[in-house]
Amino acid sequence: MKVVLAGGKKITYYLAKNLISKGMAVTIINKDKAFCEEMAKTLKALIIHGDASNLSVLKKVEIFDNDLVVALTNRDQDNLIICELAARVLKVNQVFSLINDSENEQIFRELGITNTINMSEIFTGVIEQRLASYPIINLMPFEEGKALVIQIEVEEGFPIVGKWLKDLPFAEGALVGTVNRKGNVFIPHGDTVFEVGDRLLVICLPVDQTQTLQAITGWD
Amino acid sequence: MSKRKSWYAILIGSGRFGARLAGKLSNEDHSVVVIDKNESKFENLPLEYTGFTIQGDATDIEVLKAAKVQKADLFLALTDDDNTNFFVSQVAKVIFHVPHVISRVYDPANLPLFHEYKIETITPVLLALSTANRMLEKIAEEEK
Amino acid sequence: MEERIARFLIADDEYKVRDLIRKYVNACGHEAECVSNGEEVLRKVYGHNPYDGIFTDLRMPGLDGLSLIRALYQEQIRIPIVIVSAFGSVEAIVEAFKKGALDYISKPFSPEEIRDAIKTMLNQVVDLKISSSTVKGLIEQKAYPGALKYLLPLFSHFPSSPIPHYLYGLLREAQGDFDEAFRHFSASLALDKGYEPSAKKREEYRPKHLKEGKDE
Repeated sequence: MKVVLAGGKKITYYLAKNLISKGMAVTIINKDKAFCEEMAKTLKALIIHGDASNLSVLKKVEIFDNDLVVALTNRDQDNLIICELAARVLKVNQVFSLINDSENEQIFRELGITNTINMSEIFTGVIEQRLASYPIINLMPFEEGKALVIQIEVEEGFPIVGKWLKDLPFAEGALVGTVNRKGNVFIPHGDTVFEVGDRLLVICLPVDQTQTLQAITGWD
Repeated sequence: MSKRKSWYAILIGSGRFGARLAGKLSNEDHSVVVIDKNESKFENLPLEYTGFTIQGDATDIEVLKAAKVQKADLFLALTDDDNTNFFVSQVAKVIFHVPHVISRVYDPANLPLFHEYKIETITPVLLALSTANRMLEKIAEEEK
Repeated sequence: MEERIARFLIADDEYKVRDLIRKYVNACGHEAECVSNGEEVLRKVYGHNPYDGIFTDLRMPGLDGLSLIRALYQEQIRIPIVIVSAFGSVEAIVEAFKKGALDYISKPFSPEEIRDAIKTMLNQVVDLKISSSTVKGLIEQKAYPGALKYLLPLFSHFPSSPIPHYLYGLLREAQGDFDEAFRHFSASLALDKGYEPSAKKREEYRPKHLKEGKDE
């Protein structure tokens, strides 16, 4: 049994790495020649350069009915046709598809593709879970999501209470923009000591979000 | 109501072919909606076109809903991308139960898939081929 | 339901759209006139043109759809109205419905939607028939206050129809006020010279009321 990963870049790479480490045979089909060359160098997988939504390309791969086909392109219409070709023409039993626009999930299901990976739903789920456990008042991405502004209220028991800003284990990409203490808004400096009830406006890079929140709240 | 029925037709893709067909249908008193991602493509529509245009991506179900695809009698997928045509045809057929779905298919290798789902197809290559065949036969006939 | 040719007025600033609606109205066997804004609708309606319904856009230069609906409402002119628009704010649509709009069709529309709207509008007109038979029944049962209660709203709902005046004439006649009855039969005929029930009634009255003067 082998796993065929059709389309996709980063997600394909990580998925392939993971599957290979578990001892599975992986085939990658991708339209991007440079990506294929790079993958051929880094992964122990069969790499095929071509359009996976093209039946003749899929046929080249010699897919058998017990193989697994995963469509990972960033266009749902391409994923649908890959899955349909694999399931209908090549009679593959296990077909998975990445769903880019969550609204299309229903369409895939009605067309018989029930193994769907709905990325935005997964991310939303994870983020909602995270947000639920932090006393965040507001979290807004800006600059197209390259940075985040988090508004958070300091509660009893937070490790930052009574501490100087300069002593906090903040990541490189995070800073406290303003502090609202009982209505007075000021910009903190290294010697600012935080109190319970302070409302902080924290700016950070998405990658530093977890570490920053941990530093403030002490929660996992 | 003795007059012939007016259709509600939705066309995806306002290229030269789609736009001309839209013009013809609207001329015949059908209600026509043309959807294209690219607004400038509506310039292909003939002056006498009396239907509606919607700028948007037809693979976005909200766009199809805005076009009231559930009320359509006829749905034509005419973009230059087979995958998009297959996708939107399927949505029209399976989700919205449009009675007549016709799709343009560029790569004849994709035809079996469309036919399996009972989507009617227009394949330019095959049409051109059959025309060329007819011409060649005629020439051969004349040379005899 | 009996087949009759109804007349509709279509207001939209886009000629393509009003043309399309007209085509569908015609396809249903009815007549339609097109105008491009609300003022023209009012002019037509005030000009005593009887319409069985109005299709109107919301966004139009000059008098827009909502202002038109408000104006008709204020003048107590109740003609069935259907809005045909690409977008309307929720508030505008809610107000339009409160002030008598029957239906809302968003653009793009299918022939079917126009057909259904025509049916809805004509059904409104059928209501007048139902109401008038109710009123007649009540008069026959000598339930005069009940008849009056049914009858009065018809004047505002169907201001250009001869029927409410005719019914009022019947009521006054039944109550023995023949002068008043005669005046209402005449008023009914003033709205529609060809309305036969009123014409017949007035013929009956003519000898008794010659002193009312020559009314031509």
